[in-house]
Amino acid sequence: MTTNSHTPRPPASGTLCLLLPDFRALDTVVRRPEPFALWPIGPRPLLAWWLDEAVRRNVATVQLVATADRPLVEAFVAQTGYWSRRIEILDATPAGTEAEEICGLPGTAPFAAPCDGAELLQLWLLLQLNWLSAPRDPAAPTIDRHLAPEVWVAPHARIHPSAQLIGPCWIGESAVIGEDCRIGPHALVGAGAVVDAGAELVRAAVQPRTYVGRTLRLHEMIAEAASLLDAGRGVRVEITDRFLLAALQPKERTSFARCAVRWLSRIFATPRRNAIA
Amino acid sequence: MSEQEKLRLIEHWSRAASVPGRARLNLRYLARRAIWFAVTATTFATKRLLDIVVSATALLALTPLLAATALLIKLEDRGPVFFRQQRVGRDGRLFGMWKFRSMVPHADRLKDHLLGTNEAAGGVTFKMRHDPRITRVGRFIRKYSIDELPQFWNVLCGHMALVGPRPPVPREVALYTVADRQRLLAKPGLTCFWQVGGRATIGFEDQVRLDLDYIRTESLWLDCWLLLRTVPAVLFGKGAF
Repeated sequence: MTTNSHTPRPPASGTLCLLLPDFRALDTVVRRPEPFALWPIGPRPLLAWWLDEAVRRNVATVQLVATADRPLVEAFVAQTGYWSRRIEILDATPAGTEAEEICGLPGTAPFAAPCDGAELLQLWLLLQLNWLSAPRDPAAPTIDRHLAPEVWVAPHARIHPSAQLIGPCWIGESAVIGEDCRIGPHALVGAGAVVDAGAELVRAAVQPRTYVGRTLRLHEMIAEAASLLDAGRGVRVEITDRFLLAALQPKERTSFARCAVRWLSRIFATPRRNAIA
Repeated sequence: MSEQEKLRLIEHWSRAASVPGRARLNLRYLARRAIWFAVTATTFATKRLLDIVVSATALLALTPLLAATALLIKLEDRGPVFFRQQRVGRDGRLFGMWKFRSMVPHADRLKDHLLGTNEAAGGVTFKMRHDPRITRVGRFIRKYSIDELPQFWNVLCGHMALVGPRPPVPREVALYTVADRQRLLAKPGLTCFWQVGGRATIGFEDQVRLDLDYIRTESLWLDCWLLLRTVPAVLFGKGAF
């Protein structure tokens, strides 16, 4: 039996007040349904990293000040007891407390709030890349494999032997990397994503369950299902050819009736020739 | 990029101009998606299938043993046979874990008086070698881990798996650090590396390390191997108290 250095922690005390920013009006490019605090940064949402911080600081209560999208934040908090802290959701910052705005990762200086959709997209990519290059202790227990300096691979990822992984990079759980791919430097591949042969990712993030086509080069971009978010130019491109970029799994299963209604509404929405003339 | 590579790239993408070429490109995507789906679905399905088959078989095969134990517990002090404890499952979700009652009724209330005599290394978990709350039948069924057998029902219901980190109680989880919490990322199970190895004699930090090792290397063969290794570890009652 090895010696045990684990010392019992003192009971949790104190409060951490987090202000969830409201970027709904700015979100013209990325267009995600959830509030910014729930956008994924690596394997988990941004808020999850802050709740980890609450565990690290050993606070008993976490107050979330959500001015918008309260039901989505409530749903996120309700489905997890992972942090075993009391989480309160408030409408306004309580008097006398200083709230920390979630506009960056814990332990780093917060970024300035963006002014338009393009800047918001850049902020999202920047946060993901910052998460990637944050120092990690290779000796600390973790479920990720540490293959080379700053190359982390989550369980069950399948990487072709001819693929190149250049740190810092992170490959998510059960992701598939094809032959002759070049992943990194500064690249994230989300859980269950498939990167096909010869693709190259530099300063790019592939979101979970996304197919990246053969020989694609993503520089300064986020690939999410069938949409390509170009942070360099601040634009969003919807890709219709699924062999270039596509979702591997629809986000939610639509019923047959809903599909029929959607198609019927499309047919009736098509302007008839007479109407145009 | 060499000229040859460029030509190959042009040839590959010029297919998109013609209908049969597009069909070939689409077929490649569909094939990749089919493989992806088959691999993801089978890895989840095989583990769950193994859970259902083994736990259902075990429950049926062990019916005489379970019935006899239930009778003995009932005869000893006329208290309840089963004991349902709140445990922390995957992603911190709570579930009720079934056990045969091996302690006197309302043992949790007596625990606060005993916390000063904790013998588990690390101070997060609570274990004692000679716990005064354990009944006579309880001591026997704990030695041979018979008290854990009703958990096959939890496995059948899907709260637990056969192999996975042991589910902790909420009180322990509240004291976990961020690194310790990663063991909650997998479905809890009946047995894992440290049950097969040293059981209660392993310190908390090594337990976490072994649990994370399991999550990292989880596979069907490893599950089968651990299940087979668990049987002798349980029969010889090594390290259980």
